[in-house]
Amino acid sequence: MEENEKEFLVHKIRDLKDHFAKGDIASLKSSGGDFAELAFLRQEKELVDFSIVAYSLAKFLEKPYILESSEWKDFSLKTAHDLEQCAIHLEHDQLKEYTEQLSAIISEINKISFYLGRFTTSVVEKARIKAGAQMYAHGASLGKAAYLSGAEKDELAKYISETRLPEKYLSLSLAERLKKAEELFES
Amino acid sequence: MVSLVFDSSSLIAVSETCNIEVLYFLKERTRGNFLIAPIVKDEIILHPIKVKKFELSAVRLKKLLLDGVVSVISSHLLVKETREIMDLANGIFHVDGKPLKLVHDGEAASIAVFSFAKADALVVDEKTTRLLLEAPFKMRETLQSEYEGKLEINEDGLKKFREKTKGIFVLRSSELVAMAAKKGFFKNYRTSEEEAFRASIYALRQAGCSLTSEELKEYEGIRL
Repeated sequence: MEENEKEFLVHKIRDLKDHFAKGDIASLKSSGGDFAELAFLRQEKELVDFSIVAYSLAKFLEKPYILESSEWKDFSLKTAHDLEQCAIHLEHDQLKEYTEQLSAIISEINKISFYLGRFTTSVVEKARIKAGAQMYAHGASLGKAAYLSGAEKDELAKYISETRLPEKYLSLSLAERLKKAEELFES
Repeated sequence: MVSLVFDSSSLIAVSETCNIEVLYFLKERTRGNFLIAPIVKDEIILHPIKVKKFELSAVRLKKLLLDGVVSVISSHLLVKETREIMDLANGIFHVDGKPLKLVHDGEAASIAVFSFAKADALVVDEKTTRLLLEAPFKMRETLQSEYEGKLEINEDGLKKFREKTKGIFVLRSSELVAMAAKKGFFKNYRTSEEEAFRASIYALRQAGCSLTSEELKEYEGIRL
């Protein structure tokens, strides 16, 4: 990683930590989108993990029953601390520790989602889909978006179909396409 | 005889929406040659069959292969061709001086199989492959709005990609269902024939077939 790229990433991680500390859901979601876009630009699956962290934390902050749980205080303090540790490890080029710390954060998010969540689909899986959709919106094919985000293709395709994204992608007119198809199938 | 190459997005859509019989129907009516790349087989069967949520869809697609409706085409030449297509496609657009790697192996391999098999159409539901093949300048427009002036286009790379992929006609799963409908696929629904057709198209869109609202309306206007 180039020095300026590293500095940018450290700054983004600290922003994420601050948004979480302030309970700023909108900024967390925006951060999630930014990390997804960055993951696609740099083709780095690891950056998707930060997108997942951002989206997941935003989701937790939206659920009063999670915020009121006995587990929340310890989780939020630990997550803020761990995000700062990620930034520090990255600053000091301690890439193994950085990766392990990030995995640990995702693991804790999964635990909270499993124990406190009310859905069978974990918040991490939903966050993967959101990250994948963000990449798709930025030009990634379905295959590329699914690969980088770790989301299942079927679920990503369904989620995208419920957005207005498909409206932007008209190429050949339907009439032309059907006419050519008929010629092909009648030949 | 119609020769079609499928990528995973179109096959997943037909399977998820219970439209898989359309492929059997068209295969029989046209004595068609329906092909996929080996990596597409991994994407539609080998991976999802291990995920409970998608196992049924994967099993349907596995049966499609076992029944010989779709065949896997494999050659060492395809590996090289896939790599070339992927390098070309992923070198067309740049952001901040770095290439924007838009497509993945499965999509590139499907394009490679099309050329190798001299097929008639590439059936792909996702938008990036379709736009790159049919309207790369439209792709540029959509990307420019996302990247706010940081996007550059490699004109030479685009020219080479277009030369390599010249003549590829793209269909979506929705057009296949339309062709099947015109040949009587929904006749068993009797007075609900057109309703069944429209519902199938809508279901395909919900499963990821990249259709605009305008196109959906046009499909609704089709009389069988």
